Amino acid sequence: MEVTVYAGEKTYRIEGKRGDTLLRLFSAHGIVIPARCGGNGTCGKCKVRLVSGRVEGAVADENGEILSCRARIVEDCAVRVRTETGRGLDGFRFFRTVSARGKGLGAAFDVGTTTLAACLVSLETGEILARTGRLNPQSVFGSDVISRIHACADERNVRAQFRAVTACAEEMLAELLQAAGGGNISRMTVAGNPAMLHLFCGVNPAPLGVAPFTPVFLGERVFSGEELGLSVGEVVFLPSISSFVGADVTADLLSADLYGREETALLADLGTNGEIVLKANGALYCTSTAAGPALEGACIACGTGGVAGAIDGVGWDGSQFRVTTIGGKPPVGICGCGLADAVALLLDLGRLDESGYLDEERVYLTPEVYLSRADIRQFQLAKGAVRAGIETLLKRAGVSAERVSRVLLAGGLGYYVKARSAARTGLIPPEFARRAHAVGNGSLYGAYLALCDASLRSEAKEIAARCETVDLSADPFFTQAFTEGMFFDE
Amino acid sequence: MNRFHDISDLLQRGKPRELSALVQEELEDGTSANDILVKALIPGMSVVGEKFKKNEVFVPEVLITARAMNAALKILKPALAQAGVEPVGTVVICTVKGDLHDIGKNLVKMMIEGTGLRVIDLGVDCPPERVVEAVKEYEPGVVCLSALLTTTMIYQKDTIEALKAAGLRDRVKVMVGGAPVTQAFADEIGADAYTPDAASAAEVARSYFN
Repeated sequence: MEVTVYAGEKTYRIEGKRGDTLLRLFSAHGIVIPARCGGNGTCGKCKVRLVSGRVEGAVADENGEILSCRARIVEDCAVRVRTETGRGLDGFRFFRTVSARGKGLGAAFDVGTTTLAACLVSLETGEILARTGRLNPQSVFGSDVISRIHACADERNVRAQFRAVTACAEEMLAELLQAAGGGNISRMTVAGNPAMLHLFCGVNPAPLGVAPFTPVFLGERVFSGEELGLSVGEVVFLPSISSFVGADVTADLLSADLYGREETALLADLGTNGEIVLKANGALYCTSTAAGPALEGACIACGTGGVAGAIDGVGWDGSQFRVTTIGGKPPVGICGCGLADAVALLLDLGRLDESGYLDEERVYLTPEVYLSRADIRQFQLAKGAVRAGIETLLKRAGVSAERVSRVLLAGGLGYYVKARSAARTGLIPPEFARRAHAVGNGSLYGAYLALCDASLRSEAKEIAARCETVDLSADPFFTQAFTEGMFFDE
Repeated sequence: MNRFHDISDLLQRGKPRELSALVQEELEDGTSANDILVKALIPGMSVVGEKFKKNEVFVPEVLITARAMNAALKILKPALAQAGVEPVGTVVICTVKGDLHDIGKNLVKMMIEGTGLRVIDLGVDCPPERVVEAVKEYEPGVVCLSALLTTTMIYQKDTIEALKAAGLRDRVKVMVGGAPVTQAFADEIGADAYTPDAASAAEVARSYFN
């Protein structure tokens, strides 16, 4: 039977079988809509408007919208969807440079849970010739790593997610080559978290989803492009550190040059999972803290990812809110850095107290976009977890926040969040406010460094081997720091 | 003249030392331990639970209140035992196999204790067999299963199946919770109840002993 999908200006006609869910049909045909919980029926982000026909399993809400993850088709129908567009973060600001001595073209690739980013590089000069980014098309299987792993309980979804991400990567490579005037890519380096890397080569990540969380592989891996369906000579996965701290963090550390330098420094890659690394006393301590999806805009009533129209900045002009949005588009929701800004502002205005109690049930930032009391609570959980992760590492290394001379905020949120808002809300210790630098996509830059200079692949291996993983779930100090970290400073 | 209102107030503000002192004084004045529990402490916990459900207070405040409650219970326990007051009932709680999250589970545990029930905590990463053994050993009225990962929710189902296989399913009410759990999932796996937050969990658990 046929489903007609109206998405903005475009109309798709797609074929499905009786009983297929709308969400799975969309994903099979490359129509990307938000589905934070991965079809669990809990997040409400995948709602679509039923224009004609009938579906089973989903009841229309007061706006006439149905959950596409629940709706099963039983006859021809037509729906209107809101698709997401986004580029992903392909910018970076690092001091470390590299001298290239190779030949031809190479590509560096960051396979993030939410976004994919890539750049095309001249291996002779190290020059970056072109860059691109996309939303990860695996998002229909859930916005977070655990949902994607959960989907793999059905073996077919391993293949489906592998195909989705590699097909998208192949498109990105074609786009890069076109921008640079053609050629062949001899080598591609890839960084990402362990689950994303498993799926990028078609390996079932299921063991990463339940304790004791054993990965199938962690070390550097080399594939021929053919094996992965990519038009490149060879594909090199950078090594991961542990089940939860992946090659994206190894790459972050390469970028920040944290391995070789004698200093006390901290790097935090902020997303659904906050990965934190502390360099102190000549050792590297790392951890991953389950910040939850709030910082990515999920489980927030009007939340959204870093897509066009997402509110990314909130100010106050003395009588009302002033918001800025990604791409200057009309506001469609609020993303993580907008949320941090809004919370910092509400604290300053005295409308939110140090316990996280909001005076009013809802605060409207624009006529449509608001924050609720429950949203503030979700943010408190997220920032409490990140802060507690930082505090636990500081305690493990026996250094005070005061002694940390350099703080690097990586990842999408880290790039855009204002250091002042991060410190005001307690996401990072207040001592860090003036020492925090947004470094951008350290994962992509690290992949770029390792692409140009093979000796850095050895350094990556040493980082992965030497970095000590701190297990937070077994640490009573973490629980205490988490509880305290949920409060705000007065 | 009793001071139930002051006791409840100190509990809600999470002041363990002052609360303990006042509870001690009240006991020495001859008020029964059971009255202090039922007429001051439990109503105080309910107020906090209600506020929590409405997002007026959050996890840290509930934890602070729960700590104060524990301090007060410690003082009441000998007196309760002496007066022959038994706990209203027993609840077994755990985070299921494959899952190491315990903050939510601990919160539920403390809220349930705040209703006057005895709670046996089996910890995290708890295989179905351990739950079966605990049900045999402690004969609880309620079993609470927590799961924070979509990948471990399935062990809530396995635990219910294990209770069935052991012939114990009819003797206990099974409650499930955790971020990815929904009412629909609870129905699908044959749980008796799903509750979205710690306060509702305590309320529902307590209601099974009425």
